[in-house]
Amino acid sequence: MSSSPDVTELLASLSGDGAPADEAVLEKLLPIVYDELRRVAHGLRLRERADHTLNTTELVHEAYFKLVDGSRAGYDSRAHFFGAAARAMRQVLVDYARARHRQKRRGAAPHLPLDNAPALLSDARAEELLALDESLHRLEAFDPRQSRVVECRYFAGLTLEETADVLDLSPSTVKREWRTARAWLAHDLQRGA
Amino acid sequence: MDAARWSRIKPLLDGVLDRPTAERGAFLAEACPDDAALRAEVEALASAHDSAGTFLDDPLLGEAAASLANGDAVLPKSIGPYRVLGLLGRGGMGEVFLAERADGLFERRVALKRVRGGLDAPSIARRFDAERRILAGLEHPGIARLLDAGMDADGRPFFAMDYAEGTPLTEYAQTHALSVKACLDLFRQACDAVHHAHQRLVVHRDLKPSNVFVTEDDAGRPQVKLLDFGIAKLLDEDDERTMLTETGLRPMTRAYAAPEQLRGDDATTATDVYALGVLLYELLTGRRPFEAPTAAQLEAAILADEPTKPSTALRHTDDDTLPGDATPERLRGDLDTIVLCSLAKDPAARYDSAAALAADVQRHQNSVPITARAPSVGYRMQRFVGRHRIGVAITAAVLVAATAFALYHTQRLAAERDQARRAATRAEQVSGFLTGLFEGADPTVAAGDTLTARALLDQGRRRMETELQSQPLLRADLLRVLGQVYLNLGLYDEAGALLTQSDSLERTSPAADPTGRAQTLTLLGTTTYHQGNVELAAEHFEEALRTTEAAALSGNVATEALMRLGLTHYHRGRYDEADSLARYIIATFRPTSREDSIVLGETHRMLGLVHSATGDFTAAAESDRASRDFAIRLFGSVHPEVATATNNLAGTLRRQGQLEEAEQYYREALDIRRRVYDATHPLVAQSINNFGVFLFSQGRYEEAETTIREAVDLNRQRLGDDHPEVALGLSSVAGLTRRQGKLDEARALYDQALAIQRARLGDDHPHLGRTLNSSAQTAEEAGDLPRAARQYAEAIDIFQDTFGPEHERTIRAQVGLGQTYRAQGRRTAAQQVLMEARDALAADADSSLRALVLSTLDTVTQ
Repeated sequence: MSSSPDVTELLASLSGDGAPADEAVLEKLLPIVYDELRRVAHGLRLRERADHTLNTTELVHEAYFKLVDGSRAGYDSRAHFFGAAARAMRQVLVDYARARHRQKRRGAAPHLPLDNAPALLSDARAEELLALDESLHRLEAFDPRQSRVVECRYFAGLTLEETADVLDLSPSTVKREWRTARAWLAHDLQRGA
Repeated sequence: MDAARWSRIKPLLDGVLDRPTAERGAFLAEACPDDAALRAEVEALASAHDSAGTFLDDPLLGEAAASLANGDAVLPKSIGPYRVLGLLGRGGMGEVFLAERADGLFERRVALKRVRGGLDAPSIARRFDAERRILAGLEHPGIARLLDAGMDADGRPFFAMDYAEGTPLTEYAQTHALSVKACLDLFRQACDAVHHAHQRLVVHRDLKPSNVFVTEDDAGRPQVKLLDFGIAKLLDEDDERTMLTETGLRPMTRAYAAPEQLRGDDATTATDVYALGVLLYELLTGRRPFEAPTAAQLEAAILADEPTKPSTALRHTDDDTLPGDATPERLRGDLDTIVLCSLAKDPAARYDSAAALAADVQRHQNSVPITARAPSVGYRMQRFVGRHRIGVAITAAVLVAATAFALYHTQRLAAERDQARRAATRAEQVSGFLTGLFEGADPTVAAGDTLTARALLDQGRRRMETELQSQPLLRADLLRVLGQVYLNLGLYDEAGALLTQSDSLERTSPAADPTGRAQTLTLLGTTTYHQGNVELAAEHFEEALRTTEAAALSGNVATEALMRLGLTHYHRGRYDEADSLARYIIATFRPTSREDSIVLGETHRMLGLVHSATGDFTAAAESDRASRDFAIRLFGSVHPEVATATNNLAGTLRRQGQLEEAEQYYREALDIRRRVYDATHPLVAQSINNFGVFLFSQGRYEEAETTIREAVDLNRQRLGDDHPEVALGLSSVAGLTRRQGKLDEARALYDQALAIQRARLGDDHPHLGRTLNSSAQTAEEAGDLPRAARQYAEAIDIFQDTFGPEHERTIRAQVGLGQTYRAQGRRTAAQQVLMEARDALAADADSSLRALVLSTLDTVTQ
């Protein structure tokens, strides 16, 4: 089994309640998770997947099974992993969008890839994402839980039920939080536009 | 916003969103009567929610992940002999680069399209030379020429085309605010270019706005340029495997696909006419004729729904990017008719050619009556009946099953997706648990050496008896996987026991996942089927289908149950039903995964069996080859599935009289099976038996008898003395002893076979009919005329029911009965049965068969 003990241990040390100690763990976890997601995505392509758009959950699951030693990891680890994956994806994508935005302002030709940055997102998506991230930061300030819900749903593509597992909430709570968070974000973005 | 205020807003917002718009005001007024500011804030949020559309609906990772998968987004320096200058676009099929020859062979810039990986490079390379010459011959101002094609260093095919600096037609029409007339002029240019290619027997197959460009000449006059002509064919050819198993790469864009393309039929010039119709629709209305939220719904609409008339579609849009003078009045009549005629479901009902379409557009522009007719009520009726022909033709049972299956095309519940995801998680846990223990045990995974694997497996089975008692569902999953492995090993009793346990655990648990349950039932049915109890197997498959139906499940689980139900029809001699099911699956099921392709390959195999049983050997050979190609592509050449398909193909070829090829495939199938199964596996026995039958048919009786007896003994050991397979073997041995003149021995063997078949297959099974017929011939030969007459008569009844009165088997049995009656001196009875045969002879009946009937009749009437 090619699982990395590091990740299993890191996950085990997460409390999951967003304590400051978790932040430090996440910082170590994120790059590993990101690299693995990337590798898995490559692997899927090499295996001649027919799907144009990869199934997100599949991607994350596969990364999980590669990174985590299932015999030692508890059920919570999976939830934490998904949470971490959600946050990792947000961070990576926002960083990417920012870099892209900067380079574009410096005047690179449109439709041509920028330097060595892989084209993760279309330009339009990248701009939207930066605005969304700002709104999400504002939301986080007064309702951190909702911000986590959005990360899980939007950045990791988790279902309501999976999100409920990850955040240890009931699915109906997640549903309500998601709906009101979405309303607030839509409103905030409309106002900003 | 602060946390305290937000915590006041949230419940109010929830309450508002729970209510219909009309009741919201009253609710808010009652909930916070004295805080207008709070009310306004909640209302603003609710309205943001309502107008948010699909905001955040699609997870961002989906898009990013796709890019990650194509991580080579960095611009390549060169592709083949071309230096890459920039990226022009990126789509489902691959990327398009701006490039120029690095070796300076010619100077102009080219658009270089590089296809994503995964295509069968050698086969593409073979096609290139021939096709490229044809394509290079397309010289038309409206067609971007194919200049070159080849492979890059990684074996990915690329195409170099004229680089057309321009914009897609639809976009061009918008940005230049073209009038309807100007749109139609450009559209006719596109038709002319398409027609030019059609006259040179090149079909585009993938016309869509992104392939229909408008460039401007030096004087600013617009010229349509069609891109990618012939490329879809280069990638697709008539290579069914490419088309069916790699849907994502299939060179076709769903929204612009014609119904026949979705059905997997060949694209013809009429297919391009259809795509032109879609293009015209979009130019005039800003919409596509069919729009749906999911691919499955879109396909269903394209296949079954009538498009909204362009004039009506226009009424429902307030798109200001449309031609300024495009009004419902302007489109009503001619343009509606022209568009709808191009979009007819039946290719034969469309314009005969792109030129005819252009000519009608021109007639309209000249105010001359057009040639296309608006669909009449009669035409629509006809279409309705045509659409439901499958339903009319097949029996109620099949219809129910097919309806369950068709749910896939009509609805896709969010619940289904969630369910599937949860199931996937658990499936991975289960297989993860098992992999370590059982790797190599399943002969479909590892070839040969099943003994140690068997020991491992039995150990796992014992562990299952004590472990996981507190987790019934996980236990059910593991039991199912174990059962499947035993099933694949041909250990049907063990498989049946494990699967029955799994089934009863799932049956009593309300939380059981329907996918798993349907899989268990299907496996249980398959096991029962192999044990020879076809009726019970059919019941399991039907229950599996009901389970998938209740949970609105789709995909390979439902399709596999349906396919296996078809196999039971086949084994019960219900060939029409089996045939309808197989055709239904092949026509509607679009594989998106490896599992899907496996099921589809098996469906082709079943269709081959049905064709073969009904005597259509040409069609049978075609289906057999298709299923064998599927299997080799999916599993490699040494694999049980390949053996089964090869075996079937051999049988068909034998019946077609292609004996050398047949013998080669028989030996190949047996060889594979001996390598992947243990020596007494029923399928090894089946291969030995079939090879024996082949030797028999070639008159090599002694070799044949030894071979078939070996198979019968294996089957007796493994399946029991009264298994239908044993009966078939006994019947073959009887035929051989008869040929060697040992008539008493033959008679005894036939009686054994008949007893088994009556007990296990029932009194009206075609296998029983065949044994009866052979036994009657033996009795006739031995001079036991009463036995011969009785058995012929019974065989004839069965043949008439299963094959029809005009079938060769029926006629030949009637001739046998006529001769027997004559030998008994029952002249009138003989005349009667022979005249019945003569009258049933089909007009196109084989001449030697007709001669046989007539000459026998002569001997009776004289």
